Parts: sequence; structure tokens; C-alpha cells
Amino acid sequence: MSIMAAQDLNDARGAARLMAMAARRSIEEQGASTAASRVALGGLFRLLRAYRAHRLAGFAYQPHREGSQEGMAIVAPGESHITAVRDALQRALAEVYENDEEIGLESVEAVLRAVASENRLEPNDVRRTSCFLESLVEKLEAAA
Amino acid sequence: MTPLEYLREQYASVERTLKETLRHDYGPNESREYFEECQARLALIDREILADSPATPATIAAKTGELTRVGIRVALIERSHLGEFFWPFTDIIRSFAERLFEEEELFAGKPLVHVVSEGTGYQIVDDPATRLGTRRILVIAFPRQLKHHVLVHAIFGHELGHPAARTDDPGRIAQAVLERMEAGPLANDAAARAWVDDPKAPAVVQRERRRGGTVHYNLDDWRTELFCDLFGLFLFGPAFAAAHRAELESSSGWPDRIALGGTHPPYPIRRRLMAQALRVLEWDRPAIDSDGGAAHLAERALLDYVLEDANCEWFEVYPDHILKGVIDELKSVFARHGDIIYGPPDGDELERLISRLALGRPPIFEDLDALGAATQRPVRIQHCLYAGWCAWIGRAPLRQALLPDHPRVRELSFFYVNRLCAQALLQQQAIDAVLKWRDDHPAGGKAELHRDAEQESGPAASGALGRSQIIRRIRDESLIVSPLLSADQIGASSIDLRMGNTVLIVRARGSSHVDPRKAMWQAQLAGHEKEASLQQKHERYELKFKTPFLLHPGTLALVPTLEWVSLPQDLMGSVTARSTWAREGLSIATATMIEPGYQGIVTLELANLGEIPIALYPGLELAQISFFDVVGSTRKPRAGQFELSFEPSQGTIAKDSEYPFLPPNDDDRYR
Repeated sequence: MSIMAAQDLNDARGAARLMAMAARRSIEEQGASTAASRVALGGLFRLLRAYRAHRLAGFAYQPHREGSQEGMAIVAPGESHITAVRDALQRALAEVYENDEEIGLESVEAVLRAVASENRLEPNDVRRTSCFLESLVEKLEAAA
Repeated sequence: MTPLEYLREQYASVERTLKETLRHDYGPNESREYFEECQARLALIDREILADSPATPATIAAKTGELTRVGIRVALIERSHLGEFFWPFTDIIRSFAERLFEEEELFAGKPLVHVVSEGTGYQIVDDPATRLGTRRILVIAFPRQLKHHVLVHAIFGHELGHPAARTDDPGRIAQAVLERMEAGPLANDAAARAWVDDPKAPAVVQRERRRGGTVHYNLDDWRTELFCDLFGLFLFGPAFAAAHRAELESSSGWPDRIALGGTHPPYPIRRRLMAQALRVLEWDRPAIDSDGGAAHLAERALLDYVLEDANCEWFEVYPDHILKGVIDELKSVFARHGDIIYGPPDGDELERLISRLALGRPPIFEDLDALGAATQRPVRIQHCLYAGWCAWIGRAPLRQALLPDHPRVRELSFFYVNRLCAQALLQQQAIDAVLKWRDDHPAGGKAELHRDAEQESGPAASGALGRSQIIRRIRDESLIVSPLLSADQIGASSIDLRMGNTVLIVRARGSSHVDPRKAMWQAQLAGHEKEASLQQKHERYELKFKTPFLLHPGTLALVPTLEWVSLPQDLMGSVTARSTWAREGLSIATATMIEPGYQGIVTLELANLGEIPIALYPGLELAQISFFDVVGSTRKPRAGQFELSFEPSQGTIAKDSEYPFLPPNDDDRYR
């Protein structure tokens, strides 16, 4: 067994937390001019779209997870704890957007689009999206 | 060293490695985009490292994980040389992926498709859901050992199903399809258990059940794999079903063994589902009617191969009406991409493709009129692969039918059929480029053709063949030079030949000198030494169309022609440089003589005799071939060493008959 195999290098909870933290910073600074901001905002946008389309179900399946150590040479081991990310998203949306998940998703996506295209943001939208991301980070930390 | 210091050290290493990868050529189009995406992913980690003060152990661990992911992506740059996989097929997969998996993104639309070759089998590795990047990266891994087996590459149809299930619209549809697939024995664990415990289950299942004790059924995984099987069938049709059976049957252990507990459903279930789906989709009917003779029999043989199910109804997990519902739902994934999904070929087209393969010719669709103007049709990759599988599975009736008129027709091997299809896919790219260019430039590129070509149809005079005789020979198929992509490619007494896509050039660190005596050494070598002596002289480059290759002064390069050439026994060919190119210093180093009966690409031995480098592009008309009558018998004791070539290769300089003139091997003065 590889010495690194004991570590969970592909823990989706950790990556989602980093993404949420970075995206929150970009939204609060209202800037997407740096490569780092674009990565965080683009990543969060896609995560939300995937959640909306299929509840991340497609990502839960890892076809090469058994008996394919050699096959993993081209990529890190499969993403783990993706269902924890799904649950954290669900709970953070419910908490901040008062159980109207669809409105919450649309609102966060609209803010992300506005930051990406450097349009002006309503302070209230920034505040609410920031609250959502803060809540998401907390829930991901609690799930770890 | 603190964890944060070590993280910073790792970051610097990955960043340095990323820059170092630019030493490599790794795909002509994607290098910049892939590099920039990796750079962007690193930028976020960089910002987060600096921003995170004080760093918590959990944050450092998460960043280390992200850095590892980027590091793996960076390492893939060095493992994606074009020469290690068959790039025309890659282009097709890329075009499917870019269209099927296009999603709304904040900063860029199309996914980035990166290709590598591997030793492990067909895989498409997707980005994770928690992707810290601006563009989605799909890594397509070809099995290196199957580089030329394009018929088996249809398996990628299945692999494309996995990212489809993670893509917005296809993913939404996939969930609906997977819900429909929660039926019959695959409805839930209890149904699966009852199904396996059924006393009517085949003996092999009962044996495996006893052997394995309590089996855990991964029904979610099984349904996903079956979904991907159907996805592959939609993309590649019966060619997928044939590749599916060939690839899976050999590794399944069936019918002696059956695996019940893995992530993939037992093989006979998958095979039966393929056969059943072909029937439901009505793709089980031959396109060629019974008047098509041997080609019809070949197609029938292929369909029998893919429709032969697992011979036991127990393996049918869905009744027809459920499967039809699943298929109807799945069809909507392709609603916006009707040109991607498989549709049965026209019978005439398929018959011609199969007939060309049976005669050892790449399966493209080409006609030459009496004036010497060639017309080609776009042939879909699915139909090319379908023809390939028909020609292989139905090779016995095809050969039987050909022997009376073509007594020298060769027996087809699976590898040879694959290479012919691969050559056809390459030629089809050139054909498609020309057809598109003609559409875009309707007034350009038309040569004036003369009626005299049509009027002369008598026997050839002794000597060089004139234009009319060349056209007559090509039309009656006794001479093959294909494809002919422009009306003026046939000249007064020659045909222009285009540069193909492979270049062999002598390696800078290769042999110290050329010595015909090595041929004698090679005969005595074995194992590694023998193979190394055969393989190590040349550096190999594979070029896509519109990619330049600089031929430097004093350099010799071996390149294939794009055209496939087949000479009858009464003609020989002579290849020379076109004078236009010769004036620029480009020389066909020798006037290559092509022997009667030769079949394959022609190798051009190009040398730059000028003083400045020459940029060469695949598809350029660099050479010309003339044909001469040969009088008397041309039968020879053995085939030429370069016959049936698909690409240039190193030859054996000295023949046995020359050994008496070479110093003995034990004379070290000459080593």
C-alpha cells in the first residue's frame, strides 16, 4: 500500500470548503479579475448547477474504485464524501433561503454571474450569498 | 519543517514542473489551454496559501489534496504524445465530448479534452464535482497496446456515458433513465436476492452463489453500467455491440464463471441487454439486401454475432416494454445532436465499404467519372466501424466470393482490418476537409477536364500510361490510388501523391553509421538487442492536418503518402518529386520504384537539398507516380519487405544474397 494511501487526498468536503471560502472572498471583494477568483467562482457555479441538475448523483459513482490500483495512475483516487457535500449544500440553502431551495440556487447563481461579468451587486444579495457560503463552510467543517 | 512550509515547498515543485512540461510537444491544439487551466488551478491554491493565516491543519490537508490533484494533471502533460494513440479517433471523441458535455459555465463553455495513452484499458477520467478550475477537464485514456484497434475503440461509447451522467442536461435525463431502470431483478436488493436464489437460475449462478456466500449487490452501480452500455450503443450502433462482446467476453470467464458481487453487472446480463436493445431499436436488420451477395452474408454474420445472446432468459433483466421506455428516455440526451447518434447505413454504401475492405482497401466511398473527376462522400465513423466488423466476422464468405476473380486476395487478419479502417478514418478527415473547403469556396479549385479521357477506352499501349488509361484502370479497379481529392490530381501521365501524417527522421542519438553488415548481426541477435536494433534508428512524429513539419537542410525524412496504392501484376510505378517542390530544394531522395502487385501506402524519402528549412504539411501534393506496363510474368518467390505498409518503416539493407560480399561478423575491425 502506498504511504499516501492512508490520507484522504480527494476529500470532496475539503475541496468544497476551500472553494466556498475563496468564492466568498471574491464576492465580498466583488472582483473576478484574478485567475484565482475565476477558479473559485467558476468551480462554485458548476457545483451548484450539478446539484440542481442531478443532486450530484453522477459524481457519487466511481466505476474504477475496486481492483484497479494501476488504473488510478492517471488520476487521484475517486472523490470521497460527495454525499456529505450534497447534504451540506441542502442544509445551507434551507437555512439561508428559508427552505426555498430553487430561489436560493437562482439567487446565488445570479450573484456569481454578476461578479464574473463585473456588474454591480445589490448589497443585500452580497450579504445573503456571503451568509450562505459561511453556512456551507460551517456545515462542511462539521461533517469532516 | 512545519506543515505549512512543506505545503509551500510542494506548491513550488508543482509550479516548477508545470513550466518544465513546456519542453514537450503534447498535442498541437491543446497545449496552451491545458497549461493555462493548470496554471489557473495553481493560482487559487497560491492565493489561499498566502491568505490562510494562521493555517489550520484541516485547511492545510485540503490544500495538499488539491495540490496533488493539480500535480497529477500536470504530470499528464508529459504522457500525451500524439504518437502513442490514434489521434483521428481522438478527434472524433473530442467532437462528441465537446458537444454532449457543453454546460453553462461562468468563464468558458467547452470542456477541455486531454488525451493520454495508458496500459490499463479504456477510461475517461472526469473532473470531480468540487472542481477548483475554470474549465472542465476530461482525460481520455487510450490503451497503448490497442493503439491501432479502432474497431475496439467503439468501447469509448460506454465510457462517454459516465461523464454524461455528471453533465447538467444529460445528467438530469440520466437520473430519469436510472429511475426507470429500477425494475425487475434490479429494482432493489430483495428483488436481486430473490432472483439469484431462484432455483431456476442457471447452474453457474447457483455455483457462484454457493461459492461466494452472502453477495452484496451494487445495484446502483450495475444500473449505471447498463446505462453506459446503452449510451455506447446509441453512439456507435452494432459496432459498439461487437466491441463490447469482444472486449468483455474474454475477461468475464463466462460461461464457466460469473461475477455477482462487483461494481459491474454479470457479463451475460450485459450481453443479453445489448442483443435485446438492438432488436428494440430495430438495428438488428441487415442494411444490405440479399442481392448484395457476400457483403450481405458478412453483415448477417456480424448481426448474428451481436444478437447471439446469453442463451438463457434468466439473464434478461428488463422486459421489452421497460427497455423501450428506458431507450425512449435515453434518446432525449441526443435530441440536440441528431448527427452524433448512430443510424443504420445505406445498404449500397455499406456494401461498397465492406467490398473495399475484403479487397484490402481502406473503406472510403469514392467514385471516379470518365473525365477523371473523383467524388467522395462523407462516411460516418459508425458506418466505417460497422463495415470493419462485418468484414472481419464475415471474412470467410467474403473471401470465398472473391477468389474466382481475385485469386491473390489476402486473408484478412483482425489487426489488418483495424489498420485499414484506421487508414480510412485518416483519409476521411482529408476528404471532409476538402468537401468543406469546396462548400466554402464554390468557385475555386475546379480544373478543366477534357472529353478525350472519356473517349479512349481501348487497351493500354506498351510504355507509360497516359491520363485516359490511368482513368480507365482506376474505373475498372485494376489500379487503385485513393483518395483522389482534386480534379487535376491525375496529370497527363501521372498522379500527384499527397504527404501523409507520419514522419520518421533519423534520431540524433541513434546509430553511429549505416552499415549493411548490421543485417547479418540482426540475424544473430535475439530479444532486446534484436528489437532495439530494429526500432531505434528513427524518431517518429505524427502530425495532424494543418500542422507544419520543418524539414531542415541535409535531413532525410520518411513519410507515407495519404493515398492507398494497389498495383496490378502488369503495371509498375515510379515515384518522383513534383518539379515545383524540387525547385525549392525538396527531393524525393530516390526515384522509388513500386513493384507490380504492391499494396499499401508509398513511402516518400524526402530530403531538403536547399539551404533553408522547408515547412511541410500533411495533405500537400509533394510527389507523383507514373505507371509502366510490365511484360512477362511478375511472380516472385517472396513478397517485398514493405508490402502492406501503413506507415514508413526501417528496411533491411542487405539481403542474404549480398552476405558473401560483406566482411564476417567476427572481424572487429569493421564493428
